[in-house]
Amino acid sequence: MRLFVRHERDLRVFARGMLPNWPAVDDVLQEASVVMWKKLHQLEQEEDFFTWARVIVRYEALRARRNAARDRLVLSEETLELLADESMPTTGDDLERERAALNGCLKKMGDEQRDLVFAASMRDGGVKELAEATNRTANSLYKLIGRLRASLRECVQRELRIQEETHG
Amino acid sequence: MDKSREHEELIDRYLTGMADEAEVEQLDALLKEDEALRQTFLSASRVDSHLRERAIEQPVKKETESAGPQPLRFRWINPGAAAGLLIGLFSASVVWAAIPQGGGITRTSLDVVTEDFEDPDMKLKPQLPTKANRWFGPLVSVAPEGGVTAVQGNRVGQLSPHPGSRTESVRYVVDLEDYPELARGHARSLQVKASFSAPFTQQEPKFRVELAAFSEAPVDVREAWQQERVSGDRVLQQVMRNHLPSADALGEWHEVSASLEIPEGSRSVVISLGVFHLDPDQPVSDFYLDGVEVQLVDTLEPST
Repeated sequence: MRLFVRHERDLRVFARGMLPNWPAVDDVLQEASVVMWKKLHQLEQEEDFFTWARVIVRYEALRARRNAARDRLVLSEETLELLADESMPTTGDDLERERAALNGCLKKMGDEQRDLVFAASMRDGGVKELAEATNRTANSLYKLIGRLRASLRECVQRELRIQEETHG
Repeated sequence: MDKSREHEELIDRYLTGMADEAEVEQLDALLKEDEALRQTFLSASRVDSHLRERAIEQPVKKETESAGPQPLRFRWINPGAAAGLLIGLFSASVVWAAIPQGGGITRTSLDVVTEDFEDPDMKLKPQLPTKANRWFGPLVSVAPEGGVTAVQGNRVGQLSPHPGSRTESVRYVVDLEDYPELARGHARSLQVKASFSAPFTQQEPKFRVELAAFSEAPVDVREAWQQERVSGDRVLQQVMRNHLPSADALGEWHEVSASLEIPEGSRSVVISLGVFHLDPDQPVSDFYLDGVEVQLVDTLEPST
């Protein structure tokens, strides 16, 4: 449990790369946590936990994809396999650097813009759900939120490049 | 718009739930072919994750006005990892989950502890609690017998009442200072459920969940509890739920729930899960406990 709690945030990041929305991430992590508990005896060293846990999350995410075979709003299994393979090199340290960069970028935003981006991120149903709750059309709201999210991503990339140049 | 920006927007529409079937199909085809775009996708999904983490860490706000001619009314909730989510076996993770409500009521819940007594080496001090976030009482983790199977996992808690005692409990103290401050206008309650079974008893047992709020810190709760027995003025709020199983169903699991409205000024809440034997002349026997779930629930009702 201690190991899971320690790595939970990073496992969620990994799962998000394979799953279309947050409820799906929640479901898969729940299933994966049960599997981890049952198979914990197979883990030889604590330092291998994150790698081991990611394999389980990957398996559960692919299983969830198969169960949602009729859902046309999810990526194919083949694509998910590619994404899972290629996200493996991202380490906990990389993720912490990204988090720090994002925090810096959020501080540069206006309060209202930041609140708006957060409001969309909080909702399991994303922008559509927020639009419904605020009596707006999803497309008009997305135009605003999409621009803010794009500027945040650019800012994060810029901050990471600067860090890399500064620290080699 | 150049292709690169177009693809980035497509990725973001997918991540925000805006993409339709045709767009998802297009994105899927592009990702299959383009390794660089897969890296862009993964980077965008990571930022999306970090953003969600930051969003749920924000203080609860009732509403804000923002961006545009019409005020945007946000229900600020802390969803997070697992809506009932990591309840299972790892649920010590601190997680807010939204509970859909009708009538404009906003309710959020936070998993405080889930206990299935799976650790065979767990050793509890058989006394009243002196610290928060751990169980106290005459309980050991065992593989269940008598035709009982665990509610969760493979093991259960076995509580062995002291000979001659008609009542025995396992207890846990929640330190409310460990949790976010209650937002203005909200009410907070502690909700507990636990499953009991007594397959071997010749008694008429009463399964019991008892919750009591104290102003004292966890370290001082033991003394306050003892004084309560004398003066009756130390508990701020208390509820007790009893369940009396029928004689032919003693070996089955019986889920008992209780909810305590936490009054202002509370610092600690004591959870007691136990049994009370009705017949003082009959010997008492062990009983099983499993599937314990404790949540803090914050509720905001619209003002009238």
